[in-house]
Amino acid sequence: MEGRGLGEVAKRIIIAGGNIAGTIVANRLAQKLDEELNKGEVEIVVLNKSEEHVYLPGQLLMAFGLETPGELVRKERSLLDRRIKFLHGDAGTMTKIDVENRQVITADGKTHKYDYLVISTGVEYTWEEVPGYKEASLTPYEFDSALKMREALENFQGGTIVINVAKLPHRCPVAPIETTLMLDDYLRKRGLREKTRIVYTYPVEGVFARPITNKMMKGIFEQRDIEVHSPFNVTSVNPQEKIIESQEGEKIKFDMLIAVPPNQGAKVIGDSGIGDRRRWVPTDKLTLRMKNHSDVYVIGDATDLPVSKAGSTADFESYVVANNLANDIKGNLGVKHYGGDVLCYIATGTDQATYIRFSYTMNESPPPPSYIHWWGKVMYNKMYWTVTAKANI
Amino acid sequence: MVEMDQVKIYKELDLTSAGCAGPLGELNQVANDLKEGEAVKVILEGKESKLLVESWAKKKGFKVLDVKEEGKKYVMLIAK
Repeated sequence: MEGRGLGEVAKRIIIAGGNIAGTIVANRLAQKLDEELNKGEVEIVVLNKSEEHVYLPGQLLMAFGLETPGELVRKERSLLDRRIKFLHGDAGTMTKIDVENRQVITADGKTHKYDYLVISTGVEYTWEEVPGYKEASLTPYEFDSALKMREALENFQGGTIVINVAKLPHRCPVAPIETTLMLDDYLRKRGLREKTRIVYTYPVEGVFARPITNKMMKGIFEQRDIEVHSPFNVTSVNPQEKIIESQEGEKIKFDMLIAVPPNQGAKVIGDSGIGDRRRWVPTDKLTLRMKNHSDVYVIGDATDLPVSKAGSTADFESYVVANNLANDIKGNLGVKHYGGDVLCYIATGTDQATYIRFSYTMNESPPPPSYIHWWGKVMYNKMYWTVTAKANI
Repeated sequence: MVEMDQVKIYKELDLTSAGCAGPLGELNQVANDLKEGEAVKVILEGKESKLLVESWAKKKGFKVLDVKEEGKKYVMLIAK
């Protein structure tokens, strides 16, 4: 405890939320503060309701039978550096984040004081924003529903399938395109494509909101005879009659509805009064500090930044947050800035893919779809548990 | 009619480097969430983005209360 005054306790860092963003940043911080952790000068605590860690991007592959449930779930404890404390259940369920008094309150009634906080509370799906939506649809965004989607596709014999994105922004922004193109390929391979009308509906003009990717994907959609209805802002769904209705006045009848539910930040962000109206936390786009709070960082889906809500974004951001927070403690690392970096593989079938890599200052340049990039996507998924989650790169 | 001096800015959106939701995707939802008497302040880069947002606002029935040119950037105030 050299250099620390009498009665001074270790600096406590709370990571508010596990899963992709929380796990990577916790492990990267443990590496940056290795010596301090070993000497007991720093304590890192991860709070998360569930003790399980689900690899969300893999759920899309699972919905098409290309990944098994067991491959997508691990115990959070097994992924974290052994020196990191992990609280789950009521002990890890946050009921209030009090940034004025530097404390987090959990469902077991305990108050956790902190010196530094990393908010990685992610996204919650607010199905109730669209009446009838959840009841009528399947989604690869939820584990159980992705399994039901796999079964529904196995039994599907033809009809109309509507893919709908309820609101932007949403997590894993390319997934609706991937779902549509994988579906097309899956049905072709089963000899059902000619018996199926595929309808893609999206809240703003086009199939994707980035112009370069939109142009490329629109071309592929046209070649594959996929109907595009946009802008299409869903207002309600009738589960009995199987009709989806939009703000623009359109009504489409479907046999199967694949939905991207409305996304908001976590409920605890709203309950704590620290987010905007959709519960995203105001964040500095370069330092990733919460605005007006120098001791709080925000990472992953929880930010209000107009960057992609994707696992790769959280991974890129984790270098900045871990470095800057470690610098706040050690004072000798310098400040890093997040450049808006994102990398997303886009499956264009069940065995082909492309990718987009962009930042605040660089546009994407997606290569032609190929098996090589599909392989890259699969490997990226498989390496998650041993490399990315453990912050080994 | 919402007047400039009466309007309360709900949120500032820096869309000079928008991600996967694109400038319109980000703006679409924030504008839908606006309440009476509120506006969203939008920062855009390039005339093309400005024209895109103006055309979107017209189609969706939002009001463009103000447009300022600051170098290559445009600062717009948009209300319901």
